[in-house]
Amino acid sequence: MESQFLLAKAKDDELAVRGECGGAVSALFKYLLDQDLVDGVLTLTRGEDIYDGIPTLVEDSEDIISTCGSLHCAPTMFGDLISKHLSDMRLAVSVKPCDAMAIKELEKRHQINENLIYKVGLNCGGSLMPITAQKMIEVFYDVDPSEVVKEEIDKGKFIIELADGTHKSIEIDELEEKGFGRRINCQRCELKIPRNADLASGNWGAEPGWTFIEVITEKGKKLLDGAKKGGYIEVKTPSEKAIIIRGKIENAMIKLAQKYQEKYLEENYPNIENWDEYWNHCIKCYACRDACSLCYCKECDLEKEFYNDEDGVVPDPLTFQGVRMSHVYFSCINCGQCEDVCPMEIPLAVIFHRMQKKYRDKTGFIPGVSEELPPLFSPEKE
Amino acid sequence: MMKVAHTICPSCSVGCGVNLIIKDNEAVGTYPYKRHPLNEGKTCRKGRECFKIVMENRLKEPLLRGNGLKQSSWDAALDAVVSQIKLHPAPEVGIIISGKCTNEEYETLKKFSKNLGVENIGCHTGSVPSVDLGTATLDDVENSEFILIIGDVIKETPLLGRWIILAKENGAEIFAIDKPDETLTGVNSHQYQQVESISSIIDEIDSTVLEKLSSQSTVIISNLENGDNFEKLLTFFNQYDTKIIPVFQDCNSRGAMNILPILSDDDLSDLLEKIKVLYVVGDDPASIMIESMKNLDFIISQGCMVNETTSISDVVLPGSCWAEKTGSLTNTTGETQEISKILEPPGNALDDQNIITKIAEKMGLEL
Amino acid sequence: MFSEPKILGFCCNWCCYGGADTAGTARMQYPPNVRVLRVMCSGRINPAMVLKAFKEGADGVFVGGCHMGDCHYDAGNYKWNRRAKLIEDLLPEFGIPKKRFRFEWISASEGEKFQKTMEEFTDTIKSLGPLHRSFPKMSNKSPMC
Repeated sequence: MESQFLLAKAKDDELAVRGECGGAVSALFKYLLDQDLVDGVLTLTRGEDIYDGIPTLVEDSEDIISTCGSLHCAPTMFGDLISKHLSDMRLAVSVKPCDAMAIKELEKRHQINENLIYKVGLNCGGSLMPITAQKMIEVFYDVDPSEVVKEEIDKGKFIIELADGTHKSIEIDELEEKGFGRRINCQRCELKIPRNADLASGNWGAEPGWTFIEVITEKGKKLLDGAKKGGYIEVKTPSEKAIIIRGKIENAMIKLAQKYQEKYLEENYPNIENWDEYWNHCIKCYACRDACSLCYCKECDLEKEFYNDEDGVVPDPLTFQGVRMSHVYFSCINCGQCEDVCPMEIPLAVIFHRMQKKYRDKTGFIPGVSEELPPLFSPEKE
Repeated sequence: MMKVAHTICPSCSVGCGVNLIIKDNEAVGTYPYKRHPLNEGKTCRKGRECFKIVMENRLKEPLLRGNGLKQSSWDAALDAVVSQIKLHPAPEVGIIISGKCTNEEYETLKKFSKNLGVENIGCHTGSVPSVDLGTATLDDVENSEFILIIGDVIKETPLLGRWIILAKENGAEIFAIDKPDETLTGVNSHQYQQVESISSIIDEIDSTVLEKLSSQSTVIISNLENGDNFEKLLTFFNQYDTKIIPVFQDCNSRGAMNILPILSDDDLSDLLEKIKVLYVVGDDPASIMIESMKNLDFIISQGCMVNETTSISDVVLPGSCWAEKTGSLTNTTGETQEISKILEPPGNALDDQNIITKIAEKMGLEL
Repeated sequence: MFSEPKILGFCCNWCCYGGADTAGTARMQYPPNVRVLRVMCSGRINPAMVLKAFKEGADGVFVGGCHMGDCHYDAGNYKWNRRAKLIEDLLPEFGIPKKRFRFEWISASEGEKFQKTMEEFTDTIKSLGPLHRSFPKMSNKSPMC
């Protein structure tokens, strides 16, 4: 189906004001719940502060209002949360590109039923680790992080808003140069507009108070049409100029990601001695495996006698990380969850991403985007 | 119904944040709590699997010994408790509590024992004596120039170990001492010294190591098999101008020692000899000294799990696990963190503080 | 001098193992360093098995399967071929040169090819020397006082 662009906003005044960019996404969720098209909506809500994004299942459309607003300091992952705990529900999910990639890989592996799920994509320039973000705001913005009431990323800047309405902004490039800013995985990520979801929405190219939506699938189109007919959203066509601006933003971000890939996967890539040092940290806690959306096996090879090293010694990287890599690296979506949860600070995502890129160059397989499974196990004679 | 809720991991004394995944009032998993400043969503395996504690071997109904332990009503169970406590003079009543309860429970129990006139009370910590010292913070560890580690911190308390790794990346020199040939902490240190026994460390330690102790250094003491060593080492390193982190066993050992007397194994067996009625809260003394418990007339066991002590008890009062209560825990570096109730206790189990209060009410005590 | 490298050879039952047999019956000499492990199909081998062999001390690992189109199970060797490429990418990341891993298509009648391949591979491994892995790293342990 041909892609289609439009601008949308919520008709409900409260949603339009409290939601991001006119609250179109919130309005779509409200429509889905009201019409009983889904049993629940999985999205993020703000916890104790803006650095605390908590995955929340909303089953009552009255509660949608509490999920409004975007959170950039919440590097969450919905893929395995759905496959492990919500796979039996009719669900609508707000997905960052990495969530959508994980969900797509899990759909191919029959861990998530794609017929049960609406994926409302959110354009994403990247997220920040909550603790890093707080340190950064303290050091570079000279602001007590607890006084920040809102943050946003716009035009290459990370902008904070204080209770008195003042704004402070700093170029993200500058922050990242100094080791702050977005997660390194996000810096390397090339998928900024989730064209692997049903809809991709965001503020790039949008007029103030409107959400720019790209319709990706037939299901997404039906959802928009239904919400429009039901009076939940109003839509209009974006100008040619808006479409061009959006494209330019996307291209600039992809170029930047490629630059960072070069930096982290080549120039600054750890050498063998560095890796030996890192592998030495490993305490065999299986956090990387447990955080990986792709590791869905009920019985894991890593815990089988023939690969497993005894407890209390550093596991052999060949049969620990090596075996895990040989199982999933070709499908790695570079979500960075393994690295985020590693208690021993091993930069796992770097090696997985680099290996996946090699595999991608050889086979053309793009995890989370390609429609088919990686060609590794296919019976094709090629 | 699914929700993700913040809590603190109860598995060790480090005090990591974890999110529990709750589905239909059951804990079904954990989810990284990246907002937590101590561990940023990282956990060890115990932390990731702490949700299993909620479901494991739970006590759901009050039990009363007749012909074997039989399910009873709360009233009957509490009446039995009260009549036995009343039957004995206060010096014959003993109360012990584990290092896994909340500070609020320690306070309540302290008041309870005080009003009852019971002096045989304490928290059993096994090897660790009561420590009253300002300990280093985790930021101190990260910014140390030199870190001396006794015990396998990286293996036993990985999320404390993580701060050692961070310090190393910051340029700190790491020196580890322990008994085994190799330890996970040892392989990640600049130098590892193997010693015959922990008690000989003071004699055997390299003098050049001691020279490196300064206000920019941290000594982490963990994994000690007996309390004497711990005390000796603390006294020894206290002579130096260095920061110290003792690693306690339970999630609130530190909080307990701020409020209640601490019982070593010896103290506990002394206490058991003096008394006739024992009231156990959240602990399992029978697993280590069942012999000393044979002379007791009456054992009251309150807690969330079936254990050896509950099986020899005369009354069993089903309490709550950490995820079912609101209160605070103090971790090994002395930081107090709030936890809130995110689950209902199973069956007829009650909140522990509530149980203590009910006993007090029936006894006619003000709390 | 490193003279006797340890090489593990996974050979598929229908072709390469037959090739080894043919070489044997014809009394063709090939280096005794190769320990042959018979598998039913090269498609049965996964990268983890090769990694395990290196972990257990192999200096080189060889895998032999049927020629393309000759797989007894139709497409097993195609699957293996794709996995083999993956192993070639994986090994260097753990400090093991790609050259220590070799795979070849050898039919049951190609006794000579089996012999030659084994000679070549053994020579390669000999010239590379024993595989010294930097793992497990021992701590900088000071002697017991």
